[in-house]
Amino acid sequence: MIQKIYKHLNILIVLISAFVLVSIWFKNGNIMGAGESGLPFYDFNIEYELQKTAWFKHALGGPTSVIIASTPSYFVLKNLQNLGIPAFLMQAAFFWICLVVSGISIYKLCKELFPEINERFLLLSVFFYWFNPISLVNVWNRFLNNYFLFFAFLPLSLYFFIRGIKTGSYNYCVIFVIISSFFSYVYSSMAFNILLWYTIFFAAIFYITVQKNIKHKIFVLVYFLTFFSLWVLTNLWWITQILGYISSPTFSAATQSFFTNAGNFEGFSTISEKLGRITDILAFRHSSFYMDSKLAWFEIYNLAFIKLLNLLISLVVLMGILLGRKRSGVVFLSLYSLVALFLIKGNNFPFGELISWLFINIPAYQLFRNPFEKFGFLLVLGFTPLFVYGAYSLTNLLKRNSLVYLTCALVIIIIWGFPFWTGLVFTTNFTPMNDPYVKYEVVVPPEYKQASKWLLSQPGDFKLIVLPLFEEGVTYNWEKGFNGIDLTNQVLPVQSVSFNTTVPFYYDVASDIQKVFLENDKFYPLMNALNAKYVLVREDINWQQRKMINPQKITEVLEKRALNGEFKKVATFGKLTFWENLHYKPSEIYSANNLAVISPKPLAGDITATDSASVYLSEQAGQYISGEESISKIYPEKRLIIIEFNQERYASQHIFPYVSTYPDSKKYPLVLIKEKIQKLFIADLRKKIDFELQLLGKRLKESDKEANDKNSKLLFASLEKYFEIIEDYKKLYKEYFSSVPQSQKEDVQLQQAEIFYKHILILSDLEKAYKENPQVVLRITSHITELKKILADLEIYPHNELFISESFPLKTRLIYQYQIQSEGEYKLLIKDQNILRNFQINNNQMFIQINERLESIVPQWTEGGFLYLGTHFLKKGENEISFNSFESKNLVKGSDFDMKATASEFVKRLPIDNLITDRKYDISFNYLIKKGNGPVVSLYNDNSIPLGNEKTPEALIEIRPDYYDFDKKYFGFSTGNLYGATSSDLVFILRPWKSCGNFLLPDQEWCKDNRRSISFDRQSEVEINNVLVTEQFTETPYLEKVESPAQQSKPPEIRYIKIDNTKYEIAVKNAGENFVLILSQLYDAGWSLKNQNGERVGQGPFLANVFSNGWIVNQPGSYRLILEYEPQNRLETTAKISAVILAALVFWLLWNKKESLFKK
Amino acid sequence: MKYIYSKRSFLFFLTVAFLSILIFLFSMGLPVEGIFYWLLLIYWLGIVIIFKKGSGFGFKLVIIFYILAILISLFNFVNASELIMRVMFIGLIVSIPQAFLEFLKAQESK
Repeated sequence: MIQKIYKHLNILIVLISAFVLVSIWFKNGNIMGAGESGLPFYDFNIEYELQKTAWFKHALGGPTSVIIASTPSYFVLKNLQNLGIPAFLMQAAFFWICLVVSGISIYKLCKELFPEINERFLLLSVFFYWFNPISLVNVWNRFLNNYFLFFAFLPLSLYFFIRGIKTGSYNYCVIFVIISSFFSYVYSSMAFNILLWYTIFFAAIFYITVQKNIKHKIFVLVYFLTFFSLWVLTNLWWITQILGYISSPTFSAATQSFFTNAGNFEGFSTISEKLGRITDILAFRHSSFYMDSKLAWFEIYNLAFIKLLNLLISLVVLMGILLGRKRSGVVFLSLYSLVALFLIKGNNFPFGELISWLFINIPAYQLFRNPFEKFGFLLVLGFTPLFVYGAYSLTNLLKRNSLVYLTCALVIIIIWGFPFWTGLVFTTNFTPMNDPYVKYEVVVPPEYKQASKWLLSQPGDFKLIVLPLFEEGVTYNWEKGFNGIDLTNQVLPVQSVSFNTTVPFYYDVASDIQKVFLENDKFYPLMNALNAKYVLVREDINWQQRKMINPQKITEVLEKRALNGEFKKVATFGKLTFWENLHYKPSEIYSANNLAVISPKPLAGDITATDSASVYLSEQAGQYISGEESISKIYPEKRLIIIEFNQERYASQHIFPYVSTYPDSKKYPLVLIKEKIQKLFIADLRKKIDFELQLLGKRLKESDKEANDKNSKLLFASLEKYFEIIEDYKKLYKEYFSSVPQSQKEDVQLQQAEIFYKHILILSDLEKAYKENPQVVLRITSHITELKKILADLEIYPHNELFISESFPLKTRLIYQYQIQSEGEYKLLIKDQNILRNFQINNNQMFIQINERLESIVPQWTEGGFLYLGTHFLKKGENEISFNSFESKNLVKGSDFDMKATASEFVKRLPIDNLITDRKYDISFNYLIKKGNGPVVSLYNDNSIPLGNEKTPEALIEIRPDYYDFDKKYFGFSTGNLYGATSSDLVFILRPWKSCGNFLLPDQEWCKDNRRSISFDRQSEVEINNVLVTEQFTETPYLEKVESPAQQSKPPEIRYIKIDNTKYEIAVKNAGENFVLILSQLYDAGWSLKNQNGERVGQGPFLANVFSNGWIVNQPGSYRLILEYEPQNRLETTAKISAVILAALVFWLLWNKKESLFKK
Repeated sequence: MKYIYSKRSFLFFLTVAFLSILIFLFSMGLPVEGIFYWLLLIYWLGIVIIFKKGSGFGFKLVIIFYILAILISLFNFVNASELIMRVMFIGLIVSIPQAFLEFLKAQESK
């Protein structure tokens, strides 16, 4: 017995070590959660319900796609939880299994590859694999369940594959397939599926190549194909879901709307540059993880000594390769590790060009945007056995058995293992997880269970809107809180719109919900379109850290709305308050005949109809109904801005750089060659564009000089060169502009407009210089026209020449481009209650440019709070409407003051009036520094993070004295979007001039003590004038057709039964000629409407109400329909196939086992 | 050092230098540092092929470069140590596949 135990002592050590680790991690009896994983261990019933079908019941819904692979795991866990096993115990068991499987697999793999190695060395492989710093960051600290499982499953798969080849037994192949069904959670990441099969494929190719005998080569090939085919067949159920999703319009919408190849590549390059240094990789360092950390324990790993030890570990690996290079196992692992090392460094040198090419040309490679995170798994798998072999070989070589072994064991188990044995591996920079007593532990307050119970007791199938709402990340202020993705859908059993993310159609609603809530007269029409019955106000979040709006402001608005009879407070559970929408009508599925078609598509704020039979359609969907004539509202496709830029010629060095050699110089051809070579060495797209712009400026300066010399030949030669560069610039700018996020496009356009505005000024001056020579003028004019056309195509300039005159000067000209389907008269309107608060709009005449004509109108306020800007005739196709931005009021009072700071700092606070959340503001003032320091200017918003008794200042700018120019100066800046802020103070701080250091230069330390240095302080004095805080005009003027569409007849009565998340049975009663049927789930082309014979009915689905699905049904009378999500049928069929094959494999394995027993 | 001064080596180096001039002239769009590594790879491969060096030679150089890079990194010359690491990596790119080919040869001769 003792001998038996001793034989398996290593396995026993693995089991016990894993048990000790999880006991340390879960000693407080709490579950853990962080980041993107959320809290799946909180309630498996909710988790399982979310993803049990092909339709993911999260937020507004969506395809479950690859996530479906985790459903069997949740099914098992849910049932265990229902038996009464505490959640933390299940999570601890999950961790224990991951540790044990990964540990035993890597141990067995090492033994398989290097059977001669001593057992105690093999044991090192387990701790190396668990504790190495790459796994620490990529697996343990990352804390994603599928990452843990992949970490365990990867060595297991490779072991089974190699073992099967070596023994020639298909049993291992079958066991692998059966076990892989238990690990199906792993497959919920496409990147892992690719890495898994890359590893097995790599091993197959290696063993096929090294086999001498052709029969053996064929066996390995057949073995691999069997391995792969059986895996595909038993996993067909989720593979078909992914393939279906990838080929669906939803996937292309998701990839095209929010991701660009150029943007992804930029991210990939940045990550590669940060994490792809070979020195860091071989020291197992995720450099930014350790360098950016503020936690004390990270500092240990920044010590030079520890870095040296890590590099020495890699030296052991290299020694292993050197000493064992004639062994099959070493050759295989070194080839595998070499490729991993090549991939993990991304497109860093050397040979990063190859990886860049792969990234750009193979779309699937974009899954590996973070190469360190994904390929880290491969490197660790390759390095672990090589390290063990290296340590073993070195021991033999040096003949000092214990020293090498003990040193390696000390580094791995004690130094690398320290964060694991202490549980600190589960801490990170962010609150509350930066507290070593909290770590990733989470205690969800009991009120969530109470709220869940209450929600389940409410009748109907409704959704929740959770406010405040911002992006995906939320920090919860619980006893042991959580910092990561929004948890509402994981802790409450109701579909909830509680965050914003870049999912097509969902983003369009979620990004506007809070704005509509705060600013629209009525919020319930949008709630009804979402089928939302309650608003949940959460006060248990750290809203300041997340730049969210103060929950109390939300409550204030709800209280006001309650007075109008729109809402009623119905339940409070701790810091969670539920407000009922008193106009709620169940609208998961409803019929509508009151149609509003909006071009190009409606916004969430457009959903204002108070009747329950309305639907808002995009122009595209509207064509199903009655064509272009029904369009009721047209938004601009684009907005351009041209402002009155500084007219001073050659003012900016970046636009017109210094030119020393002109075309008449003999050296000029050399200058052109130098420029070409310079351009060659610029890799970054943005820098390339800047360089091209500088060249354009140079060519213009040269043209200007030649014009002054009246050398028209050289002038046109320079202009030709200018247009040659413009051709290059066009290509680069198009590529760059497509990668710029939507929110920054306007800033980029404005920067380019400024540069070309000055170019056009220079070109116009050239015309003037040659006014006596009409031929030259004509050529220059044609160049200007050509340039403007190019700029219009690049969306930098408008297509129509802007009117500029004394009565209509170019101030901040806003140019809107509309696509019109049918010519006619259109009203130009702006709807915004706030516009009157912050902008000066009077009944004076104003000019509006409509394409090439100028019109004069008087703005008028109409019923319902619309600003009417006249009725205009517009042609079919693109129309440009431009006018100067409305002048904003100054939002601060007391714009002139003096500041004097003698003994202490002088603070001047200017509260900003009428601050509206999510807007941008321009701030400017004049200042004169009379003595000492300049002022520090900042904003203190109501949602800034508290800092002692004060707040953390935003937009902190320090103005320093100019030691040359002592005149009064102008200073201006834009605030950017003040997310979530509802009030703000503009704060000027002036500090006394600290002159201590000037007197005591050698002893700067002495001056740090304020009590001593104060006697050296001198007065600072600054005069501030003309402080202006103005709101940027961001409202969108829209067009409305003069004729309003005709009202439709009453829609039919609809009743429905929900079979499950993917299927509804609908009864239609008294339908007329046609009507629109709406399903209030996220738009997806997989939904289909059928009659009882299974035949498709109506046209659709099309996008309705910004996010949902609509069908036009032209079948009069009363009848029954079935609405189903088609991928579910595929899921059910393929799941049956996979189950049958799995059962057959289990039977085959048992039968084989029995046979072999009989043989024995 | 004898390799650097040998006639064959010199001719090889000239070829590499000629190649690099061609790359520069015909605008292959590579940053200069990238070109340096490609040339180094060609040079390393050239040495292995021309002088019929085994993988052991390459691995020993790799380990020397690696130890050198570690020593330099101790003095906080981060960029210099990274440069040497990259040279070491090029050594691995040549030597590991070479070891594989040697292994295959040994298998066949068994």
